[in-house]
Amino acid sequence: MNAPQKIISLFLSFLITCNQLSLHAQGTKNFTNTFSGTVKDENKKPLAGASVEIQEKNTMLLTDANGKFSLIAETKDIAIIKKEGYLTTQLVLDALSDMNIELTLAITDAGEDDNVVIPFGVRKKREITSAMSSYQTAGLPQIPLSNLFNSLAGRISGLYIQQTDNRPGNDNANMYVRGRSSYGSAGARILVDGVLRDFQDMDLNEIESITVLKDAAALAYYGLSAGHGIVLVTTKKGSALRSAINVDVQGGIQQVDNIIKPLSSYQFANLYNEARLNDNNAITYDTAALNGYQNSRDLFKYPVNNYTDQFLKKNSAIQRYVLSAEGGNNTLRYFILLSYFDQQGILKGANNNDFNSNTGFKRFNFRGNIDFDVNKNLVISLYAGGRSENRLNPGDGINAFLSTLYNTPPNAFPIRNANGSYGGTTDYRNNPLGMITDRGYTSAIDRVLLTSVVAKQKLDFWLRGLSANINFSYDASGTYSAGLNRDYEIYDFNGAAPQLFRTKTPLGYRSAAFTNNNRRNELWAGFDFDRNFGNHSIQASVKGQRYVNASPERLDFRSQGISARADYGFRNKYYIGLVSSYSGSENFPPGSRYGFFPAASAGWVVTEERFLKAGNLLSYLKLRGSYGSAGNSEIGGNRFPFESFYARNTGGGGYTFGTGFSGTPSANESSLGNPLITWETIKTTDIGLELKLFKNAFYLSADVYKARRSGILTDAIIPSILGQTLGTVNQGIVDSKGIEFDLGYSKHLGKFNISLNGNIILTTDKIISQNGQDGIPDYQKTIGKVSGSSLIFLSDGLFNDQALINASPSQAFFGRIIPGDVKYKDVGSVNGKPDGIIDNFDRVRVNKRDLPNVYYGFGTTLTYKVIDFSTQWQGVKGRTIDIQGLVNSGPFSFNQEIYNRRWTPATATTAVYPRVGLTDRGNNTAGSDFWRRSADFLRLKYIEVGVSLPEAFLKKYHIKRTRFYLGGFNMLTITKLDLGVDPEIPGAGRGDQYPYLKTYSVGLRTTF
Amino acid sequence: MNKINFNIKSSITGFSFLIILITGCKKDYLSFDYTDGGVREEDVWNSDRLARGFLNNAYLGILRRYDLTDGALLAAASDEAVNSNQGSTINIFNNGTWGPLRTLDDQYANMYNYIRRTNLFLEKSLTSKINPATDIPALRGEAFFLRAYYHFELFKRYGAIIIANHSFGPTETLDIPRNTFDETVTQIVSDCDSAAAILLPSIADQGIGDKGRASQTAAMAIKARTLLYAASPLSNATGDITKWQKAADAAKAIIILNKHSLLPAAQFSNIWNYTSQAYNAEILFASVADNVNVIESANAPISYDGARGRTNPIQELVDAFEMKTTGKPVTDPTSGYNSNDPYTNRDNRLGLFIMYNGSVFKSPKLVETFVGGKDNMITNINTTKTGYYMRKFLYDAANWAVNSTSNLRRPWVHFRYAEVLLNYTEALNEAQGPVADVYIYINQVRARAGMPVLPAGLSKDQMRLRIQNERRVELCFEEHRFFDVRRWKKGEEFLNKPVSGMVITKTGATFTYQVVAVESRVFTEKNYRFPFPQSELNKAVKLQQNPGW
Repeated sequence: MNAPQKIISLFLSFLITCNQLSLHAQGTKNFTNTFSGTVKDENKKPLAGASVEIQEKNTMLLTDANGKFSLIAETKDIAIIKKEGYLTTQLVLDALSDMNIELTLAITDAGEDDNVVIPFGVRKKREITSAMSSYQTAGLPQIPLSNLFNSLAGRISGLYIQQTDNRPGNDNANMYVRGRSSYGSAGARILVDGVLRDFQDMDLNEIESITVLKDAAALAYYGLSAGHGIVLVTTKKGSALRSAINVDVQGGIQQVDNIIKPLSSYQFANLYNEARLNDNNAITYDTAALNGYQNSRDLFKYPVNNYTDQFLKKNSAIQRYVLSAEGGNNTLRYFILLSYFDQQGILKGANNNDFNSNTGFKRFNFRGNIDFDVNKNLVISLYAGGRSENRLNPGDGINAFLSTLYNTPPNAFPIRNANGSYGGTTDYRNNPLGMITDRGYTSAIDRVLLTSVVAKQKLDFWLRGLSANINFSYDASGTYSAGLNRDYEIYDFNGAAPQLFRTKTPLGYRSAAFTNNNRRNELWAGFDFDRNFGNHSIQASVKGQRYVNASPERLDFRSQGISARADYGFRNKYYIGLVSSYSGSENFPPGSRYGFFPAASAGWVVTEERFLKAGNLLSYLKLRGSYGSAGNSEIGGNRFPFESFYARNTGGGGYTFGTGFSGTPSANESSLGNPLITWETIKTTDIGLELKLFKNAFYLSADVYKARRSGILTDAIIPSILGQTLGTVNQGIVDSKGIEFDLGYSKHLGKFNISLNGNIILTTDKIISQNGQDGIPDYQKTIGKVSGSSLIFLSDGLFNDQALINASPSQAFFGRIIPGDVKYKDVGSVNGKPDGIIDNFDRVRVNKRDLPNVYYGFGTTLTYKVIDFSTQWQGVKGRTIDIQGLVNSGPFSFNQEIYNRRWTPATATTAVYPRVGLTDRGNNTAGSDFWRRSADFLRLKYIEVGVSLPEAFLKKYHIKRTRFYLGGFNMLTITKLDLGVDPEIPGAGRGDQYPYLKTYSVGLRTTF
Repeated sequence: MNKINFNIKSSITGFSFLIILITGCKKDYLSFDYTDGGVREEDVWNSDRLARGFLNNAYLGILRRYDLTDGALLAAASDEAVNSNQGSTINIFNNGTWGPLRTLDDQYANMYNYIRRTNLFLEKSLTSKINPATDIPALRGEAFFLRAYYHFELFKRYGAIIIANHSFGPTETLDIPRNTFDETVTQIVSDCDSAAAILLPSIADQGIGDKGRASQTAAMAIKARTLLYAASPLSNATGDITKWQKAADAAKAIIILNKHSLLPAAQFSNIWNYTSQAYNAEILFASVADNVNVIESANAPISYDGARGRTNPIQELVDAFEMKTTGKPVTDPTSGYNSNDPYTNRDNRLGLFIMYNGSVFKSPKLVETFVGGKDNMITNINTTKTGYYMRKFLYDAANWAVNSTSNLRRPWVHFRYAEVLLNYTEALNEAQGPVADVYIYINQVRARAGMPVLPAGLSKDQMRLRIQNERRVELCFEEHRFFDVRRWKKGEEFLNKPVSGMVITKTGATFTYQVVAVESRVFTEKNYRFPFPQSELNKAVKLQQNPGW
């Protein structure tokens, strides 16, 4: 805590000094004067409410009702005049008064806030002819979250973000662009400032915008790396148009939710006895023992524990501090940021005299982005980001600790024996108290450096509009892991004689290791051409690319290619785009390493036509369409899969002969190559529409798409007699299609501003071809089903009595069947017809999977005077999860959920779950629709209320703006799932998973 | 202006230079030397060390059978024992849930994987740079042995299989029907003959660094057991006597070589303990000897440092041990068996193989399996389910206590001399009846255990039962019973009924004994052979599932 505060205050004073220095420096040259003028629109009418700012200074005012302004500045200062809907104008202050400034009306979707980042370029929204969604992060909530993905959930159309973990520093999430169109892996690729980088651990304030590339016309540029969609992340750059210093201070708590509910020792012992009886065995706990548990008489003999209560806090602290400064002038622009993030774990009692083993995450982020105009024609930029992350965990790891808490019977042992030693038994050798106080801790420090050098040389003297560009990145990362170690002993006093397990060791260092060292370089270099000829505009680009990911422990990952793009526009009305790439990867056989991926697209702004001139109702209408292909070289499996390799181990490792028992040299054929291996190809057709109504207040974008992914890598289906694995072959085909909408509404009603957003995507996919389907009955084939479908039994309730078991098809396949077991439907047999026997031929492939086919998000932002209020919701539909492992979790699968709703002869009519048992449980745990539940949910992803202090008041303290806010993340979830599990991360809080967390936060942002 | 022009020129030069760098520095940026991760085929065969290493590697498929799943032995899948973990997957063999989609120990893909290694060696070694080249024939002999061994492991599980006597190519038609049963037997026997013709006679003849490699007697032992299995009722429906005679001859050939002997009674338990007696004379072939104590910690009684007591011998097995003095089964009223003192005056092997109430393990500790005794605590889920623990394979010298661990070298013994003798007597009795040789060799096995000779004048059928019982006792827990019951076609008789344990109640200083059923068992016709895994049948349609599955 102390160190970061010191650093922040140092940094702050440094910045303020710089600011003053620069003021001072300019002051010596120029004279202070009062300047005045009038701002008018294109019809020479005065414009009220236009902002006038002096570059690099803390001056900002609005024009009055007559469009007039008057301010004190220095000569040669630059004034920046902005008004929504108009193009921003800059002006050097030289005349003292009566300056007439005319603002030009921006055409729809081509204004100053309509920039869309495309690969190595920027376009206006209007010019975009492919399917992309772009989002400015300024609208994101300021909630302290260690993973940026989670802030974006529900916000960007076509991008599905699924949170998968909650551990501090590991609250990971998956990102899918337009659902799933492969039965292989399907995560989107994330490029930060144009190159492949880890994005989730950046600070939110480092990010300027996010663009999701969805159709072929957007993706073909990236050739072989574009197969699962691309997310372009752009970091903030300095601008001559604004200068500010921002300080964010946030604190909050994370609240534990949806944790498994354990049984009391008495309930546990009773349930265990019941299970023993169900198994045809004698009971384990006699009346004396049951009484002991119930009356807590002898806690050493009859231990009663509630581990999750004893060792987990209800909430934990989280905090984040961010300091950033941005600004610049005409030759130098900068953005710098420093942030500190601290997320504490939920372990109780983990702090002792020697160490703190509570899980936790601390992170420093740094960024300095500088653009320098070397001369009129050359701009050189350095974009550098760095971070240091420290993840602390108990010595056994957080998951092992949680697993012990969730899965140890409440009566297994006393935490401490009568003599103060740790309790334990032969079967339960992990004592939770020992795990956090006597196993030391581990610390993993990741250091990451991300740098890019960008240079742009204008070549107008050769050809007007031509420029040469180079973008070279140097990223390095490494992990240093260390920690302390110690071990404890446990005693079991409940046997015939005291028994000791584990070995006590004194506190010592863990072996430190420096791992994950790698360096990534990516170079993009080539020419851009950007020019308007009257009504024609041409923007073209051709770039060569080279990528290497090197590490001392392995061979390089490399790729290289050429990407080109040409866009043509006519009268701001018709647009045509062509994109292609010729891209290769070292993972494919020589001679067929490179693929060519072309795409074409076109757009038509219909409202520019005379027959449909924009009016009050219809402000804007654009139609667009695209077709093309992209590839995926990330096919998994062995590297160089086209080659057969032999492994060898000359130093031993082979079989042991002789009386010396030392290993012999060894050599072996390790794989058979597939010389025909290649990438996956995805061909996409996309038709879109963009619409604005009611003077641009309402916005709608809609896309329909259809894609075919072919050459999906699928396991070679070779009989085992070959004796060797053949890796994979390109034989899968998946078709997918969908429709997506993105809409928004924003309106000013006096001091009341309202803004609504919403997006939804409906997708579906179908496997057209997949290997290994011979010999499988039709109703079990994956072909024709969605990718990720399930092969399950169809259940038919529970057997309530032996008579029903006798009258039903035989389920002997699973072992002994008694009342209270799940009944299954007889579907088929070897010849496909029901045969009165339940076996694997009775499993049916159904279109149920955990990935939703509809996902949506919507949100509101309301501001009234100084108060603002925003919410964002995320929802999914069509997601099915298997709850078997969730319900049957805990020691021997016992927990309150099972206890309350299991089958017993008495509860036969109301039981939800089968009878309990310790053995022969296969029938009741088999994959079946008995255990499938819809995990559709609608979640209030975040909510935030803010109050901004009045500017007049702040001005005295040289503060531009300050805002105090309260926020919450994952606050409310609407779902039909009533098991006490979270529908998004169902495993959280059971098994060995970190519990689900809600975050509440307060924050203060001050802008100087 | 000049200055600017200069800047432009220099930066253009810089850009051009970089672009040339990008496009021109290497012929193909994506081709680089990737031999870091492996070597090419020719590198292996051109190296003496690696070519020999290839054969060494092919041995890695030799199975070690002490832990099929969670410390379970295959004995718990037969009428020898139950597993103390009642949820163990080993129980799929017993409870009727075994099937093509629920397999354990199927070994199908694994064995073919190792067969491929032996085939590659057989195909490539002749032209390899093994130095001196005169070593090549013997090394090939080992490969023949291994190929026979891996085929045999498949054969004993599945019956007729697809013979892989060459390395298949990926473009070859691999969905092919199985070879016939006789072809399978012929293939294994012929590989054994090829191996036996060239290999050193036995482990004793091997150099110190080569002990444990395949030998002539090892190859002959596979042959003898293969022929025995082939002659047995499960596979010899017509009762062809000549098949039995062939099996007898193959076993006798090993005896005649006189390279092996039964370890003396005092050293009996050292068979499985290489720390005491490495590569002892009784062993024809054994797996690599791991230095472990997990066999003990998995199977010792629960009061011994938290051991898990996995393999619990059943009462039926205990009853198979005869009375020492009379040499008669306990069921014989004249045997001298006292059901109130059941463990006295029994075959010495009972104490060597099984821990019962009052056995000494890790002297002076006594095993207490009476109800409430330290090794029979119902609150411990690992407690014995039958009142017995396994003793065979377990050594007092192994320690797994927290602060003192010690390991012993233990191989899994695949072929030992006692089995050869029993194979011989069984086959000979079937081929010729209880002739003199039958008595001589079965009595050798009994004599070592301190048991009286078998009474003269037994009929062929009586002798068969005595031989079968002798196998059950002598070879218990060694994975013979599982296959023996099947090849005798007695699954329905032995494996389709509940198995029992002994409940011992202690009152004062007296014990009372009561036999109770502890686990029901299911065996049906299809269980005689292993099911091929469904995943394999989906790839190899012509393989055809074994009957009934």
